[in-house]
Amino acid sequence: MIWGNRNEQELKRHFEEIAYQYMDILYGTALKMTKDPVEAEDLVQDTYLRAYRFFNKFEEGTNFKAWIFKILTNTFINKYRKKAKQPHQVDFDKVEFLYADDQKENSPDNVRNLDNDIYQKLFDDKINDALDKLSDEFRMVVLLCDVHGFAYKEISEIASIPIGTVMSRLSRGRKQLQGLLLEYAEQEGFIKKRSSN
Amino acid sequence: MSQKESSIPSEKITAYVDNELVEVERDEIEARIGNDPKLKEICEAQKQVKKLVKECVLLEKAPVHLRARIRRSLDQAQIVPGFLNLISDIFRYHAVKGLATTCTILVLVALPWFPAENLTPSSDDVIAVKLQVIEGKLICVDCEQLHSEHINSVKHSDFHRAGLKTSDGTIWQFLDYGKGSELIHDFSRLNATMHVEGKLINGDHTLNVQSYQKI
Repeated sequence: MIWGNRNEQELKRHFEEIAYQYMDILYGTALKMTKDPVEAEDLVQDTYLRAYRFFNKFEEGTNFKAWIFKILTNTFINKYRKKAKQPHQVDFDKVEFLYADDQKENSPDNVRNLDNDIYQKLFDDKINDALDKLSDEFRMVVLLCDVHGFAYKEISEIASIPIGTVMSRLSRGRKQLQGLLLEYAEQEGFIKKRSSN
Repeated sequence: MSQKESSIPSEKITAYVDNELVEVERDEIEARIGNDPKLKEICEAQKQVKKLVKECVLLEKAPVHLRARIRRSLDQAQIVPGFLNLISDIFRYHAVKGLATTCTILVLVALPWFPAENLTPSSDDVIAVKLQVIEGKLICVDCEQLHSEHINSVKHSDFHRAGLKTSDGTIWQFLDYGKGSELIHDFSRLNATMHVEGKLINGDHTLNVQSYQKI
């Protein structure tokens, strides 16, 4: 518990000292989740308000960043998700080819498809576009893991899902991203278009 | 590439890329990577995607007015002590859930004050459709549920809670009362085939057991 001998004013000051440093990353994440600047602001404001009201539940010395991200995620799921725009769903058939049968995986075309240099030629906005096209669940764990660097256990607590689900969503999310990036690479002409079969 | 080499679950590869595997499993994957160029390639591709997301995903900075807006809202807010904080928050976002939660809490608080005999169902409490005789195998309800969800590695507890599984796979639970309590808590009968006679409760695959017999 964080109350100690502090009065409410001191507690508010203490909260602001700890919490405000995360405003940019919370807003950036909220924007990625809601895809709407106005809703992202509302989400961050609600997150801070809830965090402040529950501040007596926060145990000093534990991970405040993970704690406030949990509040952000819960608030998003409870309040905003229903009215959030449905993201474009990736056609899974198009990306599954990467993990298809052994024979296909070993074909020279697919080996070339996985060349790291191709990705480096893609522009940042294409990568951001690809991330935006993931479903909410996948995008959330990819952001928490790859952008914010949370460990699986922390993501599990933040998103209130089992660690196995974290792994599964990350795995599938990255597969979809990989497929989308390859599509972009094809469109930009960095790699030869795949044959239709 | 052998079948064995290609059978690493993609979740495990992901955990390897994120350095989340225990040492033994990490060493195992690394040994396989040494002999399997395709697996190496899959790992490298995932590492590359992870790296790109880390480096290229742009998180926009919060607008300058947001901090002032949040500060204003905090000025009007108060830290409410624990229980009230929770209830008020539930009401704020989910009025119906909040009401249900409050009622549940009140019932739970009030329950211990009632004499024990009030908690045992009388024949009037049970909405009995008819007396049924059901044949099946006595199983642990929790073990069966974990098994059906393929969570075999999770041990639910050292205690079991018996129910009856019929040949069509339906699982019947027993009211923890009278003869039903005998069946639920006596693990020595687990896996035995039984005839159980009882009254249906609310059509919810729950029986108020009147009698039972091992076949």
